[in-house]
Amino acid sequence: MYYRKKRTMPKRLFFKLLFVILISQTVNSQAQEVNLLPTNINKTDTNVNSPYISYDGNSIVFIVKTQKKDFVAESKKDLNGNWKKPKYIDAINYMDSGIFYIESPSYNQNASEIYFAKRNDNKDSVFNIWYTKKINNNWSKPIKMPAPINSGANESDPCISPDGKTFYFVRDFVNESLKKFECKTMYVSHLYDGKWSNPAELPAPVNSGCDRNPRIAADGKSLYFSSLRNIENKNSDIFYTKLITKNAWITPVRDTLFNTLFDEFSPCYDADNQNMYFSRISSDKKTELERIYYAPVSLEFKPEKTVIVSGIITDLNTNLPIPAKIDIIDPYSSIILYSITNNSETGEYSYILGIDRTYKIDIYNENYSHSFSNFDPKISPETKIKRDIKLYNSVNIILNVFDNEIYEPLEGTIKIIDTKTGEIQDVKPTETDKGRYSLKLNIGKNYKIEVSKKHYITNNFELALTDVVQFSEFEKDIELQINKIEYELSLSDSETGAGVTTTVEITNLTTNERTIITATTDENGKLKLSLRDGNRYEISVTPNGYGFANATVDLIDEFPETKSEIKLQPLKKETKIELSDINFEFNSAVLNESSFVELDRVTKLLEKNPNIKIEISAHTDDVGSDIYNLKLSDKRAQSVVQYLIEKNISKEKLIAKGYGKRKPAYFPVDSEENRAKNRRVEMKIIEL
Amino acid sequence: MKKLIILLIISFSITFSSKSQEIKYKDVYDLVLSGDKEKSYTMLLAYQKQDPNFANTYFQMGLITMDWQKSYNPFTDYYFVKLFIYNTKLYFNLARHTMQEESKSNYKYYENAGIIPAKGKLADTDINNFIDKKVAETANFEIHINKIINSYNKTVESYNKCIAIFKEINSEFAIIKNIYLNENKDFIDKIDALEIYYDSTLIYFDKYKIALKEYPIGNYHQEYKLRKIVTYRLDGLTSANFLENDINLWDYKTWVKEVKQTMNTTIRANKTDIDKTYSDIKNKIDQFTEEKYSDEIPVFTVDKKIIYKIGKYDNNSLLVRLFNYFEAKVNLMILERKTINNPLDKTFVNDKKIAQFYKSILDQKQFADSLNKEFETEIKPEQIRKYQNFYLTYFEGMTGLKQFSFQQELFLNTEIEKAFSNYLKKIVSQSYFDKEKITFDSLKNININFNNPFPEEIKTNNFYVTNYLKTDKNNILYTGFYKNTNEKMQSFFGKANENGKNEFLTKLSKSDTSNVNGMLILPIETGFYILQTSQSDKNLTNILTKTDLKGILISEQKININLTPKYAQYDDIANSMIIVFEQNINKLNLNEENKQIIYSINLNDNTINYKTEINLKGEFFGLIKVEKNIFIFNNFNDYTDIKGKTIKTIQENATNIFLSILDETGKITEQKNYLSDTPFFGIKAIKINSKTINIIGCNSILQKLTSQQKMKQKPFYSIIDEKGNEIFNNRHD
Repeated sequence: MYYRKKRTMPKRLFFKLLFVILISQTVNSQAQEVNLLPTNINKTDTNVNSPYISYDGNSIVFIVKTQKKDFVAESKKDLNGNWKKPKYIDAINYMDSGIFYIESPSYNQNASEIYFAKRNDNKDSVFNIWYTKKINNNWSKPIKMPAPINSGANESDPCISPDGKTFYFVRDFVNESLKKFECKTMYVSHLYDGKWSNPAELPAPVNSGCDRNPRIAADGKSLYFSSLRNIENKNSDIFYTKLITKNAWITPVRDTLFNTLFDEFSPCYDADNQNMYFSRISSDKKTELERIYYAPVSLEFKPEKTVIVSGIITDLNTNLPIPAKIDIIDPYSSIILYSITNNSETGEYSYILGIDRTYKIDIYNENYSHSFSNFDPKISPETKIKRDIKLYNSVNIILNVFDNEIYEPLEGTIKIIDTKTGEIQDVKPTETDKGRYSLKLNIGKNYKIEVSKKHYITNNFELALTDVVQFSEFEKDIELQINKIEYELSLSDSETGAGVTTTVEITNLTTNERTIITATTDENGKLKLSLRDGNRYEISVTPNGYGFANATVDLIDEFPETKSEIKLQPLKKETKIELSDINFEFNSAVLNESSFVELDRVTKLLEKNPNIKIEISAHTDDVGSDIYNLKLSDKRAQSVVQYLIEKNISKEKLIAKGYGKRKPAYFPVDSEENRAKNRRVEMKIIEL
Repeated sequence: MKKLIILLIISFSITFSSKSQEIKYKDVYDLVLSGDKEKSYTMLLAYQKQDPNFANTYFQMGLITMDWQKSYNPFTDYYFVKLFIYNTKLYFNLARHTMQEESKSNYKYYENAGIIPAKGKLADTDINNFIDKKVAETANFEIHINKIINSYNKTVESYNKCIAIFKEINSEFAIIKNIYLNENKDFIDKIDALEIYYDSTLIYFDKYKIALKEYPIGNYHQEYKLRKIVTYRLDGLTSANFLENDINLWDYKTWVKEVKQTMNTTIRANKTDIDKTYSDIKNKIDQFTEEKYSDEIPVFTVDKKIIYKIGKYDNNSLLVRLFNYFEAKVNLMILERKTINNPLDKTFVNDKKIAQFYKSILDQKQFADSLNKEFETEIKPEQIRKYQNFYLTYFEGMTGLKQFSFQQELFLNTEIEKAFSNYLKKIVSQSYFDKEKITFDSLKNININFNNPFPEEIKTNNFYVTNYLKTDKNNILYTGFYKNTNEKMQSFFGKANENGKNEFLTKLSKSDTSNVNGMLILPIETGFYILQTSQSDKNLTNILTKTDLKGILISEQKININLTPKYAQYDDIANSMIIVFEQNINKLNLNEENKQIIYSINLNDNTINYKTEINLKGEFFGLIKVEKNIFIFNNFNDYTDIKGKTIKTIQENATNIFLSILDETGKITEQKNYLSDTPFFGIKAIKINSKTINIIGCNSILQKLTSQQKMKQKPFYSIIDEKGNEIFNNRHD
């Protein structure tokens, strides 16, 4: 759609052209700076206009005009910075089946949306503003901008600010005195809580009565537009104004570097190359030529410097693009200055920052980690920053589970519960080392982690992964407190039942920890011990005047016995003590090493009671000949005695005797259980 | 920036005054009266360009910017507030400056300011006074707002610095316990800085509150609440919104305090204990520099409390690994200082005890070795950082630690080889004890020779010992032959007590028709068994003789095996005997064919249990009962295995060993060899326990060597399990 209503060249243009020739010297000096875009955009056979270049300078969208119809086309820069062959945007061009006109396409800040105006080819139709989004690398079906942007009047020339919060456009205003142009008024609308405010006119003299193409630059303050305010020339030129605050603007000015006596429209500033892109209409008697140009801008009309930060947001683990939100935050007030989203298909993002302040940038997805960065223009002087972001949707928790008393690693059971639903999560921890577990938890939920182990007090803690997550690995020590069992031990004289005071030696067989305590029984001969649940203990006593005794306390069972009674045999003649765990090699009198513990107790007893003399008797089961068993048991008794002699017990105090199978203690003698019991070694006091 | 805008305003007004329609000030003033400040201001700017000397333009702009400076939120739009303050002062001053030129007819444009004239009609002085008042008001506002905002911004900056430092710490240390042990000064500086910035946050916040109280703006009544940092790496990393009335601040102060408290009390005390523990270990090790032997040194244990203390703050601690290694090392050295390991000690100890002792040394060495390896694999920068000063002081840091671990490996290898060497010496000296020292006081008129004579050297009535042994009670039992007056060799046996005094000497042979030699002697509870070999022509007959404790003959049993007995083992419980016969005994060359028979006899009824033959170039050196099986160990150059295949050693004329496993019936069920690039020669196979057999040997055939050479041999040590698998050897091939 042309700005001109009539397509014939007016007389005024003739003189204008003549004037151009006359002052060519002057104009050329300026025109040398003005360049046509290449022919793949500026086609020889068709008119093109309304260029809009993306903030990163890599994409351009424009109108291609044909006899029948207007088309929106888009071109991108190749690696050498040349514009590639443009592609028509069919989603816009064929959005309706009938004939329609399209005007003034423009990008949003990261060129993921195109705003444009469209009017159908019927008398009563008006221009409305539409937009399309890039989805799956294709432009989506256009959507009409809601009221109050579209009002039923002619709305066109849309342009959205880099922060996406301000929308500029024009509405019809026909200046009856200027028939040449479809004069319009520039409006602005602001986004508050997701809704566009009632559009306000840009104040005079920004609006002069015949103004179009408001294009806000990357700094969000510099506004370029075309205007027919130069009454003497009666041609359209490009003007510059700047926002002071809210809707207060400096007085518009015209840049003489590229404005000519022809009509210049559709300004758009390429911050990357610091050029102004615009379309110009030049005409002769027969035709009007519309072409897209670019030219440098006077220093004073340049927008404030900005930095464009771009990159790709991907999943750390899959390297696939993920949708994310980017909040640009004022670090002092914590106010989100603006939020944008990336391209969820490609992961690409870009945002623009002014260089007059510091920013905090938060990139996140609800179910992913956050990536924070700060921008300080004093520290980052670049104008283009490339920063690829990797977010992760799960964190690795390493748990070191150990006993809080002995710091031994423990193999525990780990249960993960979603605190919101109370559901147990199907998370399988990997034990990388004993007591060291690794588990993955998804971000976006709060968890209760419960570490339990039989016999220990369950430890649990909460991990709020709905909070801002900035680290992918957490390591936590889980100290488990073992349950303590009050164990009651009774030490009593086997004959009188009286309590016995003695030293009790407790060996924790589970931890191999030996503790010697002197325990005094109460008047009932009882002693209370605090023992570790699930552990096995050996309690050993060698009281003066009594035979040694030991008991294994097994606290492994769920409901273990919590008391035991040891009846101590007073040492006197004929006292007989069966020695436990005395083992020999097969058909041999060679002692197994497992026998040494008990034999060392015998040694200790004999050391404590130097006056006693004992008989060590060995017994066999009922299998085999009597002679053989007698020999075997005799040899075994001798082996035991030999062991004690080697422990410096006088051989005079020791008698070895083998009874073979003649003195069984357990009946019936032919059961396997009793055979094992009858293969035994006993100690009997002979003299005291 | 604001200057730039002003300059732009002025410069645009001069350079780019367009030729658009002229603006009438009345229209501008009407717009001002409409109350739309943005539109008015834009238009005033345009008019100012058109007429830069018109005072009311500046006056109105001053009024607008003054209004704006107060209506904007200085916390969110401080930039604009500063700009408007500046502009207010500028515009009012410009108004005052340009007002001198202004006609009184323009006073109507000041009406909207509500100036109350001092004397009836509005005068310049009224306007000037008004301007002065507004400028003063703005200046006052500027002072207060700067004070508030500066304090506020410094609060935020200090707090954000806390977050940044805390995030650095979180990045550097994956686990909080690693922080406690860190000794790096930079880290201490960092947590000091964290504390300082935290304090600054609160100080500036207080200043801000005072400033806000002095000059209240907005509806701000911020108070902060402290949040404890509970989950490391999750808490303490997010910023606070200082514009909310309830500000949640991470309590870095408490966090730093707790960290420092732990570092300065518990950890410092632990470090003192660690130094002391290390010093004790060093002293202990230094005690072993002298080769003093003692059986009284108790087992060394590093205080478990210090291990627990370290473990509490340092899971998987390098230091604990180091101490565990030291504990094992010291205990190895204690074992090495036992009298039994003294090569000069002549106390007789039975083979089993010696073997058990050296197995315990090997176990301890291997334990120390494994701990050293575990220690070495954990020498990593993050581990070093935990006890940096300790490692720097005592080991010169990471490189020093690696070097230390390497040296310890060499040390342990040297120590075990020294121990094996002592073991070999002990076995050799006990097996080949110094015969010269044996005296026979009661038999001074009898000449007993322990050296093998050449046939021509054999003298009549001289006694030549073929086999002897020392009992656990240090008695010496011996057997051999003497030449009788008929020039026939006849057998004898005798016993000497521990002082070398002979208790008896019994002549056994009754026949003068053949040469008879006492080949083996075995003590039993009730007397002795002597194995004699009788030779007539080329036929050999063996006689098993039993005597009482005084050497008086009880019985004789002929064994028709045409070989020489090499070894016999008596089972006193079963009353049976296994005898190993060989074609050639005491060979100097193992490269000769040698038939071997394993012969088992039940002495209750003199029935033969089995007779198993092994063909080899080599010789027997050990028989071990393992459960129901018999393990027969041979040195060999080659042998024919049970499948008839000839197995040779890798090197020509070098010996290795092989094992034949016999079941209860004497059947060879399995044979295993322990081939090696390195030749080795088994001297003894000793059962350490029901599952472990030890082979001690050397790298040369012992028979060829002199006593001195025997003592200098490189030891060969091997451990075989109950299935005959070799689970350790020191061959290093």
